Amino acid sequence: MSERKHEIVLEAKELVKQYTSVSESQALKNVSVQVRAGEFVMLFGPSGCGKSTLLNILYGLEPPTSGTVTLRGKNIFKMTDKELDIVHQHKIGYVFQQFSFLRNLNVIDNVCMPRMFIGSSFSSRRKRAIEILKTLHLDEYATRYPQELSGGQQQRIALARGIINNPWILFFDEPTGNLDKKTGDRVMNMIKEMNRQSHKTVVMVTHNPKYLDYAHRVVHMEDGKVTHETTNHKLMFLTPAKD
Amino acid sequence: MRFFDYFFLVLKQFNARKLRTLLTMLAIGVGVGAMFLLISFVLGLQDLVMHRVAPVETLSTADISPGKLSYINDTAVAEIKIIPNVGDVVPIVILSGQGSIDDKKTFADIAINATLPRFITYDGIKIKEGKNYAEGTNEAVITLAGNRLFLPNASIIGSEVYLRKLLVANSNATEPEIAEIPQKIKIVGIVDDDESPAIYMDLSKIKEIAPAVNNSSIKISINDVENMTEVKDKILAMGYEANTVYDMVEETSKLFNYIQATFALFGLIGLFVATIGMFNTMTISLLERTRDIGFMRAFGASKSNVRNIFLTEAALIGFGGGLFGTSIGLIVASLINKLLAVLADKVGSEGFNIFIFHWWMIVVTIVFSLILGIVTGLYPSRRAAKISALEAIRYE
Repeated sequence: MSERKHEIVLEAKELVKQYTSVSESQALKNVSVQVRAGEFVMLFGPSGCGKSTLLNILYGLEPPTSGTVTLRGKNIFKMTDKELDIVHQHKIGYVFQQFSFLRNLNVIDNVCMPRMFIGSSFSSRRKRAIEILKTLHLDEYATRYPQELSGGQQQRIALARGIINNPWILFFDEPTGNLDKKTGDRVMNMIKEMNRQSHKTVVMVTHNPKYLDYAHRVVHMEDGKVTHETTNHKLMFLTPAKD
Repeated sequence: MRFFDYFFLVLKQFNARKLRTLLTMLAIGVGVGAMFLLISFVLGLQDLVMHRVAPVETLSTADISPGKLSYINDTAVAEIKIIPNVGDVVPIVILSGQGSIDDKKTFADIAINATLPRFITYDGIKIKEGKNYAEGTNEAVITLAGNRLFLPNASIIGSEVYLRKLLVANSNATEPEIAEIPQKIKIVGIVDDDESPAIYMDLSKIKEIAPAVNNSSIKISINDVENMTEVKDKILAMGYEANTVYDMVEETSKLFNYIQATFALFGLIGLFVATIGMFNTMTISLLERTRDIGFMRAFGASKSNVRNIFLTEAALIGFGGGLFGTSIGLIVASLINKLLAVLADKVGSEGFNIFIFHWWMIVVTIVFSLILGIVTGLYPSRRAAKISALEAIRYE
């Protein structure tokens, strides 16, 4: 494991995303990003800079116009439906911005959902969900419905759902977007803990500069392009190996 | 994904949309229930004709009458007996005469059917009280109407009847062929005929007195209903006339097939409308859940998982519709049957069930409804499987 610790798990090469044939409408212009195992990477930039599009492409939700995305060396856009399902089930956990819950299901069933799709039994997945909800201090809300809870609570439930299948990598899309300062801090600390203690690789999209120093590395984006990258030396994750 | 979890998700969805689910099931139920009722109604009608109008025993019999020839003598009886596939041959002599049960003080006109006791069975006549007469004895049975003629308010069983002035029916004779039957006949049973006063007695008693009397007609039984036409043709070739209950029933069955087809068509129209309703509901439900489906896909649900969720939903709606349908059918059919029984009782007639259902019909109806649900769900479920995770996220 330690040898693999700093290997590149996710890599985007020369991604171009164009919605129409007009070149001005390019959402991504030749974007390349590398994510190493155990790393906390932030995709930072103003709204409309293409960072959410990049995250969706990295997750395999929409194909790029050109360029490749590889997950541990495998091009995710050359995967079969089944292989991509497995990526979503086991390899990457996506924590969406709010409102990503099934309204018919209560908190615990929502948290259990990804585990249901991998064929886990009702009792075993519930047991695991309770464990996770306990560590996030959410177990008292298990039988409530997500829409009855506050934004911060919903964000933490989404986090619980994101990690229930124990994925390699966690994706976050503006996790503090609709939260007040105190709740935002709490959620960010939780994510940091996942990264530091549980060694989860984290890729986060944000437009909020406040939390940039939580990340090992920040990819600055503007107008569909990567302008520059900053490494947080204070955290000393690693220095990317020179090729 | 486990089999149980499809039901889990679908039941959660039903729980969130209780009224809609119930109404959709009810619509299917009304359609299926109407089909169920129509089938049981046709079965009831069929039973009414087959078993009440024409009891099973009468189906394999034929009545032979003189036709162009003016009589059927005992030689003819012997000739008919040797036709292949003819089982039993029962001649009947129909006479009219006068009877008295009070030592010749008063007389009443009555028909006398002199035949063998098994004629009663072959003709589908029901014995209402007492028993059938025995062959070679002076016992007899009488119709309800005959009973009333002699004793308006009491059972005639056990009484002895003196018969005189017996005239062969449809004959040109002016003088009675049989002046009297010296030995009184004893009534041992009453048969279910409310209209014509008649006595059924043993043929040998008549033949003892008048050996030359010709048979009015002959009833034959045929070994297998399949051979009915063949036997009938042979008898017609001999110059007699032959009538069978079978022919009538066959005609009626054809009629029933038409009635059944017409009813089935109406039922199908109802079912079709219900199915369109279900299809519509599922499509709306699909559109409403585009976001949910997208998120499920994003969290690792495969296309076939999504398709199966919708198919399970459709199957359960169909199954629920089947349950509703059979319940509606059973309740309505039972109520109408009960009502008819009460009405029949009021007019003093024997009741009958106009709706007949068998247990297999319930199973078939539910299974049919289940399959109907699945078929209706095929298209919406395929569409659901095509929804991508991205559509969910764009929704936001």
